[in-house]
Amino acid sequence: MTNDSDTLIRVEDVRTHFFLDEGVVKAVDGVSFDLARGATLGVVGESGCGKSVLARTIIRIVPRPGRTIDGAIWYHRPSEGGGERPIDLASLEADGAEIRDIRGGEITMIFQEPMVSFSPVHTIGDQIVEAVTLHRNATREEARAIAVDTLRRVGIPNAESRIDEYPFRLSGGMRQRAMIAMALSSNPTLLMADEPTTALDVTTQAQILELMADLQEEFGMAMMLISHNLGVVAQTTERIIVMYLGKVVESADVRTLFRDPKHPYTQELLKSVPKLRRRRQTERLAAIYGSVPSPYERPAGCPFHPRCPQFMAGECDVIEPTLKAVSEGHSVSCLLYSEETDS
Amino acid sequence: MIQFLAKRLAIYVPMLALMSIVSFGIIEAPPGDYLDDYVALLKASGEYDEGDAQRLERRYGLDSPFYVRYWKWVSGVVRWDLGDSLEFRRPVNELVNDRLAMTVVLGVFTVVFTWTMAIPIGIISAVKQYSFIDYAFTFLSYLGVGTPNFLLALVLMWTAFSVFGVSITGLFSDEYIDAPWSLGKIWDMFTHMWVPMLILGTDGTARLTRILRANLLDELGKPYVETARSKGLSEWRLILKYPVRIALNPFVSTAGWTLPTLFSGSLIVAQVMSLPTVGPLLLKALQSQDMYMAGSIVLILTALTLVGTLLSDIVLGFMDPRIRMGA
Ligand SMILES: Nc1ncnc2c1ncn2[C@@H]1O[C@H](COP(=O)(O)OP(=O)(O)OP(=O)(O)O)[C@@H](O)[C@H]1O
Ligand SMILES: [Mg+2]
Repeated sequence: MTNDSDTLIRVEDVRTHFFLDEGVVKAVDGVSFDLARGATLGVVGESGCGKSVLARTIIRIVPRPGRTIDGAIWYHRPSEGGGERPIDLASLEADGAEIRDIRGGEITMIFQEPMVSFSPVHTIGDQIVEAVTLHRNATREEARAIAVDTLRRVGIPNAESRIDEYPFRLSGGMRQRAMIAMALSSNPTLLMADEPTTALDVTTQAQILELMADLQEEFGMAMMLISHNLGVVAQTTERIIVMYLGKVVESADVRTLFRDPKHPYTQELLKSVPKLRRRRQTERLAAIYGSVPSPYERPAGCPFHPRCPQFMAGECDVIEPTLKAVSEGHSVSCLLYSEETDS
Repeated sequence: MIQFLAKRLAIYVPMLALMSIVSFGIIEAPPGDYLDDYVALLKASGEYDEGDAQRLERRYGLDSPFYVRYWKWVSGVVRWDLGDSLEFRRPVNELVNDRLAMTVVLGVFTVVFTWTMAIPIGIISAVKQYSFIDYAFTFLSYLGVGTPNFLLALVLMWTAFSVFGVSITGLFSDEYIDAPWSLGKIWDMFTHMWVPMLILGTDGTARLTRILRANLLDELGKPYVETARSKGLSEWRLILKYPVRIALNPFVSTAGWTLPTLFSGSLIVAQVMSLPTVGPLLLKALQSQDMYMAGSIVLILTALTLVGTLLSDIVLGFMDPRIRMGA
């Protein structure tokens, strides 16, 4: 662990497994990454690769029978004096006072399903005000003023009256805006958004993404955007980590990743990103060959080898690659590149 | 809310009217004319004179068509004039008033008992699913559902009698049974009330515990719970504020229906324990074809059930904005 004053969160070899009767699902299996203060990070990968579990691991809300069994999550918590104090979130009691102070206050989260992520029998305002009073030193009136103000900032018209609406009276896009407002209302240092636009129509998706990019700049917080769509992530974030079966297979800044993707999985993912300037719109997007294997039957060696177009028999199905830097700020976990870095 | 209640009333009022016709059907169902029997009885005892004949004609419309007889009866019921009991030769309302009050008091007590037991047990069972305490409550609730009420009543009565030497039948001690109402009598009633309450409430508690557990388990997995958790609320606080609140909704909406099951369930228990409720009276009335009594009791119980349902609708409307606003 370093004292690099820029670091906000340093995740070190974190493992979160689900202990089911059918077997152990290694949803997150040795993930490491850094996130600087005010920086943006995209997390991409196909369905089931552990993106959501990773985010839940950070704020310690992994549901049973899941457990974070290994690793550290160093959060450089700003302290009152102005300095900061690193705390290992993974070592805290999951329902304890300290993590609950951070969760929802300094690190907030937006979920995929705006339609069902609010309680249907409480008003939007009630649910946002609750978050504010929990984490800020504010009376109910002050909290309400903050809530109205935040609702306005996320672009909800007539925020003063909309605040007393029940969720079912708002459209999906408006609900997701309200959700964003709730996550911003406590002035977080990190906002994690788990597929925030997947459930919305295309026009609304673009609006919400733009809004999030603007707000990230305005509030100066760090942001972690989770998506299965590389295109979505590329628009909004600076760095990207690509996950496959609970592991990070490649990590780079957006430009490098798009210009020089190393991992065959990343290359395949990129082929499936629609290009705006593609002339023949009828051209079909390439889908990745095969499908994600069952979580109980993790392939030996490199987990991607059964689907890999550059599979090397006798190596990829035997040796498990580790994440190694191929250049400054660009690492990949693939045997194709192992000699380059080993030498 | 007003619109919502108006809609409900638009269903209940015709329903009540329909039930009154059915109840009157019950009154007129036995072969032979109940009033003929009544007249014959009066004549036989030599109490009958022409004045009686005219009074009965005016009251019941003996020779008029069905709808006139029905109307005379129903308008009487509205004025709390329930007709005469053949068996007791007294107006039905005199016989029913006290017992009805007792039935409602016992019913309300049982519901309160049921809820105060079932809600916390259901919540704990769901939140601590598959823990020892959950298994223990599950076992107890199967026992509760599986044991017939009257058996429980007999066992309790026998135990109380053989172990403590006290008789726990009835709702009053001997000295108060025919005494006029007084503070002492009310207190005496409460000291007796807990036994039938326990017996009548066991089954409902067990059932509601299972329902609440299932509802809450469903709700606990919903995304809004995770949202609440991600805010930093403590686990118990968020469970009580969000999923419990929603899991109670179907609970509230069925509260009205528990009333009739309570009445029919209490019939046998009331018989076994000789409780002064309307149940045994209804049973006796049906056995002796005392039809004005039977019909009136059936109608009153129906009306009470509808009132209960309406009350639970109102509570539900307050609890769930989706229902209140018709979403
Ligand atoms: N509550 C749970 N119980 C058991 N297994 C779980 C649970 N939550 C997640 N998993 C498993 O963990 C793995 C990773 O799931 P996760 O939800 O993180 O995937 P994801 O990358 O977010 O996918 P998606 O794009 O579909 O959201 C999957 O194999 C999943 O089956
Ligand atoms: Mg997910």
